[in-house]
Amino acid sequence: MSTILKIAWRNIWRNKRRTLITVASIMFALFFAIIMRGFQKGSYTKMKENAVESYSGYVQIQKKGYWEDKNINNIFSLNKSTVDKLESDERVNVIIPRLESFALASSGESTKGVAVIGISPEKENKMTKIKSYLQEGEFINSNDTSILIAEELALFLKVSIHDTLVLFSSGYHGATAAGLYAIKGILKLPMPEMNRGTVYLPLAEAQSFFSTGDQLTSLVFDLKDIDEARTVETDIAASLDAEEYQVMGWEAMNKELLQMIESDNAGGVIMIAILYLVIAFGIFGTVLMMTNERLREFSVMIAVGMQKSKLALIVIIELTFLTALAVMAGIVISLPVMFYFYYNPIEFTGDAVAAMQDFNFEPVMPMSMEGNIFVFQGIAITIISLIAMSYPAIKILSLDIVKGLRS
Amino acid sequence: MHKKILLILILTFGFYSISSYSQENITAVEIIKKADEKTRGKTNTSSMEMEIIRPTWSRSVSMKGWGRGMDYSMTYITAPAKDKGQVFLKRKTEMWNWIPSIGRMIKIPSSMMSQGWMGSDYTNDDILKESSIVIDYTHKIVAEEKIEGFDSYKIEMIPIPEAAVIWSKVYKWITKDEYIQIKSEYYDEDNELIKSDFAYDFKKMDGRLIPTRIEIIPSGEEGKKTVIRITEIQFDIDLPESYFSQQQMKRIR
Repeated sequence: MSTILKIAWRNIWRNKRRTLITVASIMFALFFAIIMRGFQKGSYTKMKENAVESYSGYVQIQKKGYWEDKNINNIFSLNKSTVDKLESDERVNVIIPRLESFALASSGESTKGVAVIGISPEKENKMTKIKSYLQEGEFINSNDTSILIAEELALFLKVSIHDTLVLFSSGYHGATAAGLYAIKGILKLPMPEMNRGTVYLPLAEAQSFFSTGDQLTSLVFDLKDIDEARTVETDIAASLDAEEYQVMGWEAMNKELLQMIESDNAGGVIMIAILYLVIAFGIFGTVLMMTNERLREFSVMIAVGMQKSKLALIVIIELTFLTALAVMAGIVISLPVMFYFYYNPIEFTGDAVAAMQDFNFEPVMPMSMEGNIFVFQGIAITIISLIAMSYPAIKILSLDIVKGLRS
Repeated sequence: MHKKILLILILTFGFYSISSYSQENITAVEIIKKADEKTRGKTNTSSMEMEIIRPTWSRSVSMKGWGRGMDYSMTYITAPAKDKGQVFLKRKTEMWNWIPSIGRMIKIPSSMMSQGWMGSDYTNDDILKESSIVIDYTHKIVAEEKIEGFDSYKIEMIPIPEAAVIWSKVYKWITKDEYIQIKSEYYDEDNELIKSDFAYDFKKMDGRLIPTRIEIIPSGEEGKKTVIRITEIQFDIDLPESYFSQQQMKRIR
């Protein structure tokens, strides 16, 4: 066997140029496929992370029917001991209480409909890192009566810190919700939609603004591991009254995002498929040429007593070496590029920023370092090579030696 | 000669039958006007309580009101504490809301017309279109029925084509003796009943017999209704038109 391996290895390097060209073509194809998928997966992960960590969390408890009808009357309260018990689960990082609704925010002549989110500032920061978005002013604490406002909203309303904002809405059970709030800080939120219209209030103040008592619209769970979201979701759902509460996972809450990712991903897969089609023909062409060039050589080998099956095996091993070499080379050259972009994601500038923000994308293109990308691209190339290998193998097994010797 | 007598007979009987109808029953418009004047007077000031009833909760709002004819009215909310101090002013086709806690005067935009006033089943449009029950409709007495034991006229009101009215048809039942609007039904363009209101608890207040409890029931929505109770009302007091101003809104207590 080791002789066969040795022969195969030497055979590859008998014609260096042919080998290098084959290796290079596969290598570059793989390189592009990996980089392309890396960027795609990277931006999907970023989008999911943004959606989950900046807003929805991994799991939420809500009043039954709230998700379908996000109404200030669809709120609930859960006693502290239940929440503490849920929070003591070791899979849970933190549970964040929120009270959200909509209001008209007004300053001077300009008015805009905004999302009003009542938060427990310190807890909220544990998951959403909201403090890091602070551009100006100070962060709120839980007994403040002042607010944080999103950057673009501040621009629209022409307000800055220490200015007063009027909030006007309808509260719990139709009560009037109207108040004047000083702006304590301005946040640059990563999700463009939120950056255009969000106001954060301390939870207690939001509860008094909407006259809701100690009730909430949602309890948001931050988990240690995204893969545990499903099991945590079912565990929580089992511990609560299903008539009263509903428990939702991040996938159900970010359906639109996931659908968008899916359709975009399908486009990416088609691109990859086209790329691989080209590679497949390239590989097959090389193999075809190689086989025909070496028909005489094969015939001589068989004529001097080489078994056809052994010869076919040698050729298969040769191609396996070639593929392995190319795949390794492809991965090796893509790694530094991926690392570079992983730590320095491409940030868009100019008009692209506005266009991407309109689609609710953060204008950066991060790189994913998911192992899957390499595995999948490696497997794809291997399958193509295997198919290509069958040609010389069959050719050898059905070789007419006499004809071969004369060619 | 015979013919002449016959003609006279026909004419007199014909006339008699017409006049007997109008003697006994005044025209539909007049009934509507009388009924409206009855509960409103030339001017009035009142205290009311409104209870908004929903399947899972209810809420009540207390208020004081001032009115002059159909075109001017002002309402000051006295309870609950959260809403206290808010003032609504209606001047003809405009409606304003003064919210002291934010120091803002808000003109209710047309987009909010179909929304319930203070979360009730009484829409902003209902308030603004009070005057239109006379001018925007053609009225006809279509039946005489007994409602809750009161002999009443059933008046059909069809909006005139150019009127900005959201109903396709309104029925009002008005009692024959006291001209009290005892029941109303509002239909949309598909001739479906959208809401009804009913009057109860007739009492003599400031010399007039008026209903002191009105229930508004949106149809097809079980468990929802709005009940308005008049606790105090005075008619024909001195309230000049200038009283219904934005300045007054901010001063009123």
